[in-house]
Amino acid sequence: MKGPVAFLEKVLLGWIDADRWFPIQLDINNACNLRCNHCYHPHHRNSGALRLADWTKIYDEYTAFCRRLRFRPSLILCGGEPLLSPDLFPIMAHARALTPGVPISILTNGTLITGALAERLSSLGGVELQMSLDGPTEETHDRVRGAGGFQKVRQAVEICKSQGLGLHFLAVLSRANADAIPRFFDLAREWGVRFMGFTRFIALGQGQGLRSSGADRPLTAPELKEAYERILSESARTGVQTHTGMPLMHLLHPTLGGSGRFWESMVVDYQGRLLASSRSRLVLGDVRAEGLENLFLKHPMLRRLRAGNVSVCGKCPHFRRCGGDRNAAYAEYGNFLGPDPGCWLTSEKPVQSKGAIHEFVESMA
Amino acid sequence: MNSSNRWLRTKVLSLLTLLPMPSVVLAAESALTADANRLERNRALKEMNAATLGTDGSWHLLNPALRAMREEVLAPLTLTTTREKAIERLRARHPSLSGAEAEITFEEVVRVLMEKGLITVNETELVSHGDSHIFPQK
Repeated sequence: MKGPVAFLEKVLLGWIDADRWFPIQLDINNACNLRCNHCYHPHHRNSGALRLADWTKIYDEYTAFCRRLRFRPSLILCGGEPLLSPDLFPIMAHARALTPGVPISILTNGTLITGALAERLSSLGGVELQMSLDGPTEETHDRVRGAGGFQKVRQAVEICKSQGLGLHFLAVLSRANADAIPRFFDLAREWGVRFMGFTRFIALGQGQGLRSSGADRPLTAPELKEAYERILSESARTGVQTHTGMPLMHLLHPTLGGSGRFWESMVVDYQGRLLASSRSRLVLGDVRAEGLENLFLKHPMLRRLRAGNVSVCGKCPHFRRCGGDRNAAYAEYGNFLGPDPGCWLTSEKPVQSKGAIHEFVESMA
Repeated sequence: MNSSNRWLRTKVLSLLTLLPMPSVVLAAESALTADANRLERNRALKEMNAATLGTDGSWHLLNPALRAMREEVLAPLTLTTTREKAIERLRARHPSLSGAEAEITFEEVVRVLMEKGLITVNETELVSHGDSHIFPQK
């Protein structure tokens, strides 16, 4: 864009001054040392993974995008298991060089953390780890993540604490562990972890098998409401923080919600494809071929999402603060812009499944 | 920002979302959402302030980080506390606040303290720092 239009754009962006966080999640590899039975990844092959030069180029483009739109950058590194990637530290170094002080979060299963690694991470400053914890006991956690996982997480917590690394727990919330919510919080408090977050089980990837076998399933709308209320009250009881911004939480209290919308961050997978979300694995396009900003701004589905053109949810007065869980909609109806199957406001009028209709098909029809 | 300025800003931002410039549309939509979040938050804080602190129904739902902050900074403010006294208490607790900064309305307290780095509350959401923007629900 050149000339007067570019000038006008610059003036308008300067006036708007959005000044808010706009995170990017880079799935820097697809390899993982675990085979969790609820994982949203269909596999952990790593062929076609980007090289370091690709990642730094993508981060450069992201940074330019943030500067132009006056967003504050925030980097999230995920995988696979990101600690397996040889590019982890070089990518962080590049990010810090380009955007000093940028907050960096690493989403890890926690089983590969050593003292030396934690020390190196800690020395960077401003790095936080989100560690998976899927059961508050050895038996329940290892049932999902494999034998020995719970003890490794426990060791990792001690290591991270000794190095002063910020640490959050994240559990995948499902029928199998919802009754254990109080024990999750008790455990986090006992281990000195200040944050216990939850995210809904999405029956995609390996998780499809878990659901079809009957071994586990996502919570129904009434169950989800009860679970969210319990999460909040347990957080208050124990003093362990929790995520209060998730979709549907706004329905519980007007101060909650607000960070679950799916158009205020980016996800790029290990092959350099822009995804609608990390869990849906819904591919929007190749970042290297089409450009990160171009794809994100112009993709028809994201434009529909931003405009609130979302089935059922789009007409809800809570949409802007709630958004509905797009991953859950995609897993249930094959439609990223479908209704949230966990919404207790609409659960009395269940929406018939449309089957695995790809969102593109719908949007182009 | 007073209500007429806010109304005008909202109208202009809404108009900007109609432009054929995707970057401007995204920034405008984002700003509209952030503004709405602020309004919602402020209204909720006002409502909470109007209730008896610590006993209203909404209180237990709040994030512990916010609750701790409220207990530390805002709890001295009650319905019978004068604005001057509230400001005086704020300045006593946080001397780094300038006089101008202390001359703020109640609903601005959270934002200013955050900007001074005295509390760790996300500016657009009532959640702890490192929460919504670090680990968005994607």
